[in-house]
Order: sequence, then C-alpha cells, then structure tokens
Amino acid sequence: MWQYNKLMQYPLNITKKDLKMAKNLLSQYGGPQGELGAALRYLNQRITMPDDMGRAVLNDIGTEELAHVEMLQTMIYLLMKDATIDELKKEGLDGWFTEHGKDIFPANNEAISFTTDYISSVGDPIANIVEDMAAEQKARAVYEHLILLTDNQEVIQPLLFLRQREVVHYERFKELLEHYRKMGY
Amino acid sequence: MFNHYNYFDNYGSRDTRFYVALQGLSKGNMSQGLYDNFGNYVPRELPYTDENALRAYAFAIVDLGLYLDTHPNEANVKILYDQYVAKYNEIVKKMENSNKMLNITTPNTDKVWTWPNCFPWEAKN
Repeated sequence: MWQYNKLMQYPLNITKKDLKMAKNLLSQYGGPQGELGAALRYLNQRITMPDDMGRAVLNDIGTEELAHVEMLQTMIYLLMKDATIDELKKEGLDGWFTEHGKDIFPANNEAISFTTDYISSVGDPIANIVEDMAAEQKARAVYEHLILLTDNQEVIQPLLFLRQREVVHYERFKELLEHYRKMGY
Repeated sequence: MFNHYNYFDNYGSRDTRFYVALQGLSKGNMSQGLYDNFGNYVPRELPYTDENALRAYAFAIVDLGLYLDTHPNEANVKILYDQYVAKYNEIVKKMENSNKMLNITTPNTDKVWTWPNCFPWEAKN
C-alpha cells in the first residue's frame, strides 16, 4: 500500500515560464529514459526478485521514482502554466494544446505518447538488473543534456538533484548485481 | 536554534562518510564517496526551513535506507538511520500539533473536512 505525502521530495520554486524547457522536460517524464518508465520497470520487476535484498532495492527505488515523476510533472506545469496561445504556437506546442490543453500527459518532447515498450521484465534477475543499470545511466545522460540546455538556476538545481539520484541508484543496482553474481546467478 | 548543518557531522563508519541531511538533500546524495559533480555546476545549499528540514530527514531516511538495503550489516549506518527516523517523526509530530496534514493518517482536530492547505505542486517553497 502506498500513502501520499504532501511534500515535494526536493523544493521546486520555478517562477519564470519557459516553454522550450517545459517541452524538453517532457522527455524525462514520459520519454524512453523517463521517470514514469523507471517507476513502472522497477515496481514490476520487484515482484519476482529472488531474495529480500532484491525485492527491497527494486521496491525502494521504484517508490522513489514516483516522487521524481511528481517533480517532473510539477516542473513542466510551472514552466507552462502562464503561457499564452501565441507563445505555445511559437514553440510548436499548438499540437500539444490541441490534444491536451495545458494538461500534463506522459509523452516525450516530440509529443510521442508514453508506451510500456520502454520497459521490460524478462524473467531473469541478472538481465533485469543490468537493464536497470543501463536505464539509470541513460537517464543520467539525458539529465545532463537538459542541464546544458538552460541557464535558469530554478530548473538546473532540481535537475542536478535528479541527476545525482541516477548515480546513486546505479550504484545500488551494481551492488545488487554483484550480490546475485556471488550467489551463482 | 538547533544546528541542522552540524547535526551528525563528522560521522563516519569504517570507510563510509555521510553528508548531514540538509547537505545530502542539496546534493542529492548522502554517501560522500558517491557524490559525482557534473562539470562546473554547483548544487545550491538549501536554506534551513521547517519544510526543508522535513524533506532533509525524509531524504536521509530514503538514501540511507537504500544504502542499508545493500549493506545490511553496517550497524553504524543503521544507528544513523534510526536517528534520522526519530528526527523526522519529531517534525511530523510538530505538524500534527498545528493541524498541518502530511498524509491521510495525520491526526487532525478540525470538526469539518478540509482539503490540504496546499498541494505540493502549487506550493511556494
């Protein structure tokens, strides 16, 4: 059972609209390396991990990813909420506005809808964990690209936080992989 | 006032050192050895506020908990984890006394139903 805590994991204080960044950030929400895919990947894989260590790592990281989903949703919302129709059109978001208005919807920066093809569970703990490690590295790389695309510290700071979380999660998955290797998997 | 920057400072087990909670939240990680700076970007030290203290303790619990998932025998880290759980619950207790709801299980003495004063995505932090 999950309980919702009314608290953002890291404080967000975004005061300036920036449609370009809102659009770019969509990638880390509903894109192939995004937080939604990460949450679903781990929360599915946790069920069949062979021991408590594996179940705990997948469960705990999967849960934290849900907090990151909320951070991305909020950042996109805050960057977009004050935009006018003309500004949306200028940034190529008229297609987005047609289908979603200013709603948050899981898609990538090209408005391609989220798909579960982004995640996999192949029934093998080693294969699953190696995929998870790759997912964390890919997400780290995308966060770095996003940081390079803006000068706004209000956006850069939470992205630095999220990037470092990918580094930590990667390390824990690596330790879990070593643990299973030692067990003979 | 309680100095949240120095709390548990200079703490370290055999070869593991941890940032204090608010520093950890600012950087996105508690294990000092694992922190990986990106280029010349410098994470801002978050200011001390009640809300950031709650976040910092929650963060310490999440990150140390994850560390303990893969290092279950490090008793010193478990002690540190327990201390942060206690600090977190202290702040939650304070919130209860002022009828601020953290989650649906938070006791609340209002006679009528009220929606949360502010959902996190609308909050001004």
